Amino acid sequence: MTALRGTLASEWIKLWTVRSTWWSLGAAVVLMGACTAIMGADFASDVENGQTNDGTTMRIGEPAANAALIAQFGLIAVAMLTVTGEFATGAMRGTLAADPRRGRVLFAKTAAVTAVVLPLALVLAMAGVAIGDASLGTYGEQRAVAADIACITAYFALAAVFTLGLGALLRSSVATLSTVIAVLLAMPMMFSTGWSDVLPGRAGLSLLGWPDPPYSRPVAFAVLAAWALAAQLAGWAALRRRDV
Amino acid sequence: MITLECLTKRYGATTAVDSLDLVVRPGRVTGFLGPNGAGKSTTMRMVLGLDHPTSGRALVGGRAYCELRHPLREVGALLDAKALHPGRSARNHLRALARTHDIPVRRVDEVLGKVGLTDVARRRAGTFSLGMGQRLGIAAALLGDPAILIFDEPVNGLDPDGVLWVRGFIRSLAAEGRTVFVSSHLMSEMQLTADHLVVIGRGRLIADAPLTEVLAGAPAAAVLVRGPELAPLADELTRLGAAVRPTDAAVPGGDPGLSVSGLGIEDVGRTAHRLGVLLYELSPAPASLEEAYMELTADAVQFGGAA
Repeated sequence: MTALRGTLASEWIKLWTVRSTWWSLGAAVVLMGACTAIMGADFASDVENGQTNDGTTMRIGEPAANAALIAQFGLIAVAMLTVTGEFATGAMRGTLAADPRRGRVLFAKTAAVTAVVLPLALVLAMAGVAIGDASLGTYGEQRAVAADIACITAYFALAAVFTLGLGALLRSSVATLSTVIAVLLAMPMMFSTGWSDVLPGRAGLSLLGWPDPPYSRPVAFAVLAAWALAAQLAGWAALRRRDV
Repeated sequence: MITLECLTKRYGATTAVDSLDLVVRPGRVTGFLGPNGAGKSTTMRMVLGLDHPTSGRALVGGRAYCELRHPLREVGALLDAKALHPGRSARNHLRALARTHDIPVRRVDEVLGKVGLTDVARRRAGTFSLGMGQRLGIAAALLGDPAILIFDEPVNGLDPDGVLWVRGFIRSLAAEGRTVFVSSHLMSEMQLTADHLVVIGRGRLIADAPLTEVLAGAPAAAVLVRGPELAPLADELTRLGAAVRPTDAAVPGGDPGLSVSGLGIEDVGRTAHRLGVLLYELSPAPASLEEAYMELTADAVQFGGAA
């Protein structure tokens, strides 16, 4: 226990003593605010000009849910760099010399990142819904507000945990980021529904409340969480097996 | 104490470390010597549990590194001074390390003082010179006040001041009774730093002996003599049992210089004085240890063409 507490505290210090954390979290805040406002205002003006086929109202959480797909990269960057940043410099050797238990180190990194990402994600989700409400104006629909907030928060947190595990598996920032973009964004756009429903991309979009989900939001949460866990286990196995 | 038991590491068809058996003892500096690519760094990484041996094992204080409860309190290591986040300050870097072992921040400032980095403690480590980075690496190794210290090429790339400082520091750590294991590819460096030498080449143990023993095994030391008229001296030295060879260090218009082995420099000087021979130079020949080392590792140089 004491060793876990020490490693956790160490990861916490490391997180806050590099600039990239501040920049990335700042980027997530700015992207979330800006994209939500643009999407809400865009829908409102489309309705006013009669340019939409999607009805004349939108859930006030929907602009935020869409913006989350962009804003997530600020949070993903923080999660990724705790691992890939250390592999790039060789600092991982120092980290594992201080605590040779691979599983404990990965858990401590994940816990430290989650402790930052989860509360921030909740703030972003709530702010996103408020901005959505404001930017949609009279075209906003006060429906499923709590569910949208909860799901956006969960999506951010799971994306971060997934990415961190993937980083431990792949070790390189470029490889990790490319894979995350491919899996979370590109694949659900490329494949229509079917076998790809069980992939993390479709699960993520369903969790965020995109139209025509193959399953309910709780199921989407479970599927995405399973992928995040799988990525963590794969990262753990790689850390244990491979030389540093 | 560090113990290697038949330690072996293979990468595909390449054997980086080949059945290494070794005991590194406390209270002295053990130099770990070998040409570049001989397997020194790989061995050290295996000692720290970072690389997995293909077979055999490496133990520190009798246990595998990964089983240590408080590794930084038992082993301190400097593998690569550049292996840290360049954006983090020296002090924060050490604070994060210290936190894993509940080492107080007081100790962080203490080791920063010990290596002379107090004034730059809050500067980003990426802005450090190689020498400062090396000092920071040593500070990190000292954090837990460990009984075992491992340094991989600690003087590589340092300026003469830095080399002198690291050398003195390493010697003082061994004098405090610690186990100090230092790698280098420079024989001359180890001659000045180490008490005991472990020489490897192509992953294999070539020598494991006290420095004095290695020195004794080296080709006999020679004395260089220069002067305008050395023939009588050469005859007399030969009569006294010395081996005398001409060297190419001739004086203009004079005899070539002599390389004398088998007699001490004092004896050569006394003989010259007795014969009234004028000397321009009487000096010990550059240590032939480097040659002895080359000879030891000649078959073991990984990448041919080493001079």
